[in-house]
Amino acid sequence: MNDEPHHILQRTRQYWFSDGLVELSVGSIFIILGLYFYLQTILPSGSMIMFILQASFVLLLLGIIVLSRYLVKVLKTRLTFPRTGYVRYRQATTKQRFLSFSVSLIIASLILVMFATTPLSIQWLPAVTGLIVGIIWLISAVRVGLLRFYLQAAASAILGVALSLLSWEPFQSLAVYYAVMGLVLIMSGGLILSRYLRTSQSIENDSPA
Amino acid sequence: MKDTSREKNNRSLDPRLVAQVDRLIHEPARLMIITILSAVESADFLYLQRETGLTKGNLSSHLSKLEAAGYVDIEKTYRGKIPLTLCSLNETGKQAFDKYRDQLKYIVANT
Repeated sequence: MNDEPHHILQRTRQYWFSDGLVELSVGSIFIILGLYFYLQTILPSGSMIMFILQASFVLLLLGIIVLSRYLVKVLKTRLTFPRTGYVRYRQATTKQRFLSFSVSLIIASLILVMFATTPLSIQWLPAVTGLIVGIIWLISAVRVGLLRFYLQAAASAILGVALSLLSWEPFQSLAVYYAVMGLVLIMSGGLILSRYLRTSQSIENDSPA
Repeated sequence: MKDTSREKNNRSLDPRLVAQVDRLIHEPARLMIITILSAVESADFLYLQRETGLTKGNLSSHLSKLEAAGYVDIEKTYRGKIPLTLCSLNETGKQAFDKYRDQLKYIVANT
C-alpha cells in the first residue's frame, strides 16, 4: 500500500467507485435510453404512444436518475459499507453547482443551435453524444485516477464518431450507442463488483477497541 | 551557481521552524488519518482502519489524541443495530493541517 499523502487522497476519492455499483447504475440508465431510442425507430411517427414517449423523455430521464441514485445508496448500505467502511463525501458548494449548471446550459444551447442551423449536423448526434459522455468520463478519470474511466471515455468517443460515420438513421445510431455503452458499463461494473465481493467480507462491528 | 543559491536558501531557513512543525500531525499514522479525513466530510472507524492498516487499539488511540487536540470530531452512532463511529476533521483540524502543509512546503523549498 502506498502511503504518500497524494495516493491516500486518491484512494479515498476512488473508494466510491471501488464496488462497481456506479457503473452498473449508469450502464442500466444507458440500456433504458437505448431502448427508448430503439422504440422511437420502430413506433409509427404521429402515433399516441410515440407522442407520450417523446413528451415524457425529460421526466423519464429524471425518474431513472433519481431511482438509480436511490438504488446505489441502498446497495452501498447493504454491500459496501459493512465490508469496507462508510465514507460521506463533501457536497458540492452552491458556487460549484451554479458553475456546473451554467456550463451544461451553454453546451446544451450550443448543440441546439448547431442542430438547428446546420441541416447535416443531426447526422453527428451520436458523435456529439459520444464526445460529451466521453468528456464526462475523462473528467472523472482525471479526478479519481482510475484507468478504466479513461478506457470508457475513449470507447464512448470512438463509438459515437464511428456510428456517425456509418450514416445510419440518427435515432437508430443513438439506440446502438446507448445499448453498447450500457453493456460495456454493466460488464465493467459487474466484474469490479464480483472482484470486490471476493476480496472483501462483511464485518459486523466497526466500533473501536 | 546552484550551490550558491542553495547556500543562500539554507541561510534563509530558520531552523526553529522545523521544530515548530505540529508533531501531533507529523506522526505518520496520524498524518494518514488526517489526510483521509481532509478529503471527505466524514469516514467511519472501519474505513480508517482498512486504509491506514492500523489495529483497532492503535487507531483508537491516535483518534483519541486527535480528538483531545480538538482536531477531529468523533460521533458514536448506530447503523441499524451495528455501532458506527464517524470521524470528521473539524475547522481547527483543517486549519492545523493547512498550516502543517505550508510549513512542510516552506521547509522543503528552502533546503
